Amino acid sequence: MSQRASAPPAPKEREEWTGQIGFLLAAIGSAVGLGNIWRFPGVAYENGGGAFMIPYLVAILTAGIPILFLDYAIGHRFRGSAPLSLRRLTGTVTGEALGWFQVAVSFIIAIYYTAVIAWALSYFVFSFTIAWGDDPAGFFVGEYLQVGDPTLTGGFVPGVLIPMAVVWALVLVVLAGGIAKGVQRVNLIAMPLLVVGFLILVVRSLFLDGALDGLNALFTPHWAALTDPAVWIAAYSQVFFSLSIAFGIMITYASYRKKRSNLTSPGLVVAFANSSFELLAGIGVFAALGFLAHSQATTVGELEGLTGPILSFVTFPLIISHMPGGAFFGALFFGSLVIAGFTSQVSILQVVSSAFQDKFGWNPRQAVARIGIPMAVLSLLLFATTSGLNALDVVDNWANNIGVVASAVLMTVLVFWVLRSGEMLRGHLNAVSTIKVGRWWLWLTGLLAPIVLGYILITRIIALITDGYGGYPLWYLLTLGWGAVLAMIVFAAGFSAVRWPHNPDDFSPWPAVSDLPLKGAQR
Amino acid sequence: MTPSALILMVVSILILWGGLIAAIVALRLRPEVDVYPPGGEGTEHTDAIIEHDT
Repeated sequence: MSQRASAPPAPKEREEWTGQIGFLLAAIGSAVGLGNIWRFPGVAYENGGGAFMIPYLVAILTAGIPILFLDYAIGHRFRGSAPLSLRRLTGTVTGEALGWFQVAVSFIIAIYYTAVIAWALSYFVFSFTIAWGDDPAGFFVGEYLQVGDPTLTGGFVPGVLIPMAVVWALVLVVLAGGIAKGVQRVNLIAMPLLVVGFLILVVRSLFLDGALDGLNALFTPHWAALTDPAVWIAAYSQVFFSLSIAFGIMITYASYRKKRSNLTSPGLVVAFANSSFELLAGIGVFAALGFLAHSQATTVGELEGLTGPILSFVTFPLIISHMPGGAFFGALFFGSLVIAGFTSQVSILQVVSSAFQDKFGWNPRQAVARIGIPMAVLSLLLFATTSGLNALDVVDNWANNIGVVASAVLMTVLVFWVLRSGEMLRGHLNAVSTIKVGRWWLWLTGLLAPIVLGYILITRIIALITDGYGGYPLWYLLTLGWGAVLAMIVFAAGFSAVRWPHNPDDFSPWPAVSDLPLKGAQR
Repeated sequence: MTPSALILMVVSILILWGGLIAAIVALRLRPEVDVYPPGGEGTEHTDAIIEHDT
């Protein structure tokens, strides 16, 4: 430690979860988000139905869980946010820059994700009066969002602005409370509420007329899909995005665990909880879609709008309009979206907050004031407008498909190939965890993951360059899509160039390398 | 439901929800390793990042 002439003030300890359960609920709250509800069911349906469960399970076991363990190992061992942990792991500014890139991705996602939570909040209120009337599609895009042409600025939409401001205010209050009193506490309340509410919703769905046809549509296996590489890519993509791995969240959350903490065993709980919830969502969503098909005297196969915001804000309102007790069902559905989205949003913002706290020595309240509030303002300016939906669509596509995936590829290549720290991290996991991780982990995280993710990244980039996206004009995609990626790179380079007020490398990881259960090559 | 759809739904439930239950049980039975490497407890090992008085 640095020498001082006079007695130094007591060192500030890193915040901590109060125990395993606190961490578990927060990690599950982070992982279970909007995608579990509106992405998984449609992806499964379109990629083999029941047969999709095979590539899905393979993806969980060979990529999701291994990368989750990697995130935990890095965050727990180096006890820092993404930039700090990666800096300490690599001893380089390059590592720190990758961490800041992850922060940038989180920054951008957080700015638009709030809009979607706000829409869910609005629709929660609309449920009570079936405010969308007979034309949910027209209502969503027209009256509610007032979507205009793709421009960079539009007028404010009060119906979106106000709930967005409410969501931002709540999120910032939670973050200001810190890890134990803010983040953990909100998850302690939200997770049980979400599970109970969603279970009631699913059980209700199963009793609707046509529910079984819906389940048939989802689970009937199309075995030929297993020979289609696109299906396997879809499975890996779904698991990767659903678990919220490799863009800083799990590194950050793991960094707040006590040193003497089990990593792999809770990790398995998180991974299976996340998947269990999406399976439940699949059942509920498709039972409801079966009901819709039945009430429209058609089949599920003929329905449109089975995924994404359209599923939630157009198709589901249609379902709600048709069913008895629809208002209650609607409140449960949109309430679940709000809760799932909110706890994920908290984790995404925590990545940003922690990074600034660690680098500049701020406390949570200072981080909220200095970064959180400006982010909220930016978010409202960009997305509470008539240009909001289009902008969100584009930025989301690039942030996720390029930003998040690139971050994962870079991190796995850096850790396993450039630094060759895989074995050391494996030793770390095994030193503190009850469920041991064999050498297979090195192959999966160091070889399979970068290959699969790299393939996904490259094919997406090529597709975006050759086909564009969503029919939007090129200038729009360049500014908001590629522009967002450029902004992330500049952000990463910029913040890693800023000097640390203290020495981040003045740190000894625990357990010491000599105490790790390593065989053969020691790192 | 068709038999194959039903079977796949049940199998999916058993594997995922069953996996969750198994993971929870495993964690409850062994919440921590029996022996940690030396160190790693108490404030004397705190890895203070910042020393300041706010």
